[in-house]
Amino acid sequence: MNEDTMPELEKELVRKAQNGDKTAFQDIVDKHKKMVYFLAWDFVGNHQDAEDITQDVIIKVYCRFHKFNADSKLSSWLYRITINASIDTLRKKGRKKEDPFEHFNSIGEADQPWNSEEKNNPNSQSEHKAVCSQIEQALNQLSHRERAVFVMRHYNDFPLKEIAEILRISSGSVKSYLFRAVQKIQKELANYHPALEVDHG
Amino acid sequence: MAECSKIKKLFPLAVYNEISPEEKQKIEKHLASCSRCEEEYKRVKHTLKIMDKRERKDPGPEYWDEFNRKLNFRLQKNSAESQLTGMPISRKGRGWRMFWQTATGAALVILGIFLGKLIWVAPDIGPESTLASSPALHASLSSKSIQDKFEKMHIVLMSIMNFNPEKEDIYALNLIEQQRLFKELAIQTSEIRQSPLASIDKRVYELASDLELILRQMANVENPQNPQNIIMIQSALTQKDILFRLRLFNIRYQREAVPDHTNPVI
Repeated sequence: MNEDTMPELEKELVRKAQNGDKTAFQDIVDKHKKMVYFLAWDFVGNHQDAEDITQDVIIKVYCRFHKFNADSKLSSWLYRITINASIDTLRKKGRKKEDPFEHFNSIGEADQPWNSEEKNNPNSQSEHKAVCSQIEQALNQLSHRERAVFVMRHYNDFPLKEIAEILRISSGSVKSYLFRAVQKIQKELANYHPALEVDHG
Repeated sequence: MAECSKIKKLFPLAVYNEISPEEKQKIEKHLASCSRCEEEYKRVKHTLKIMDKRERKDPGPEYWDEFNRKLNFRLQKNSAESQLTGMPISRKGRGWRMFWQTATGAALVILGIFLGKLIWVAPDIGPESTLASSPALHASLSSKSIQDKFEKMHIVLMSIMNFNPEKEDIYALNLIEQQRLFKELAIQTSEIRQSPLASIDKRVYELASDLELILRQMANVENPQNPQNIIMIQSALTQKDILFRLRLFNIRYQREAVPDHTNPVI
């Protein structure tokens, strides 16, 4: 689809949904729900909370849809609500360190990456788990803003300009947060892979 | 050194390809002459490559179907509750006025329920109501028979609570027919509310009162086959914790073997 026509189509959908068209609202949900889910997952690191956040975000959007300015970018608004809801969840949980695999079974083990190719290799499974656990540990060292910028850029491929729009901060700030996030991650992972240690020179 | 520090700040941006051609050229030029920065750049790239191992997979179409089902149920519930409180969802710019309207509405409803509880004795549901207020009948209610009646209500209400308007056929519930049963049950709760057991056990009195109100609403609701009405009833039952309290009553009276106050065993 042409990039120029896409916002117009979306605006039309938004207007219809604001006038009570349930199909239009469902189309909007279908288009964005996975991104909201993954963004929430990147923040909280488990399936159950990510699902709860996704549902809550959509309900919130539904209730506040009449306040949304149809000329603004829907995705930015939606992802801003997602980030705020995710931060709230983290705050409520006191950023308790969780096993990121605790809730995986509820999705089904067959969906897990190590079950596809590495099913018969227990060593590789535990290695993968260990690496993922280190990654989660590293992400937990970041501040909410650093984490927001990092996961949006690294895992969701958002351009820095869009991240600045979503978080309502300047591009310069986004770059600083990203730099600090990468430095912290590098430092944290250096505990496991000494070769990654940051060069402070 | 100052140059190194400036260049290092560009490394993450370079990995994500968020730099201008001029900046790119600047980095390349610097790395060609600074082995420490070259090493550091490699480490940043390697770190971010490790971060890629954190995979997250799409839970699959079945999960999303179930997700949509849950979501639609919540959205319907939300709409039903908004209608119940008289709060429109998609009107523009009514913030405070809407808040005060809702608050006033809620206050009036609470006042209505309070006054209704004080002065309302089983009106409006036909000839049985005179029978219901007969003191002789109430006196004959033993805790065992109250237990049986509550048990029956529990089963009926469970069928309503477990009904999923999204997935199941609303006509299967046959609510028009069931309204007669709701009337009967409302009369029975009225009897329980006025029974000697309720007069000494506040919890029985409150449970019977709440149940009576809900059952009367169920018995008198217009267009019972409308799924939104089911959602409203489910929401009222949940809000008042009716099923839990019914279970609690049965457990209490079964386990503690409370002596039968109305028909004592000699």
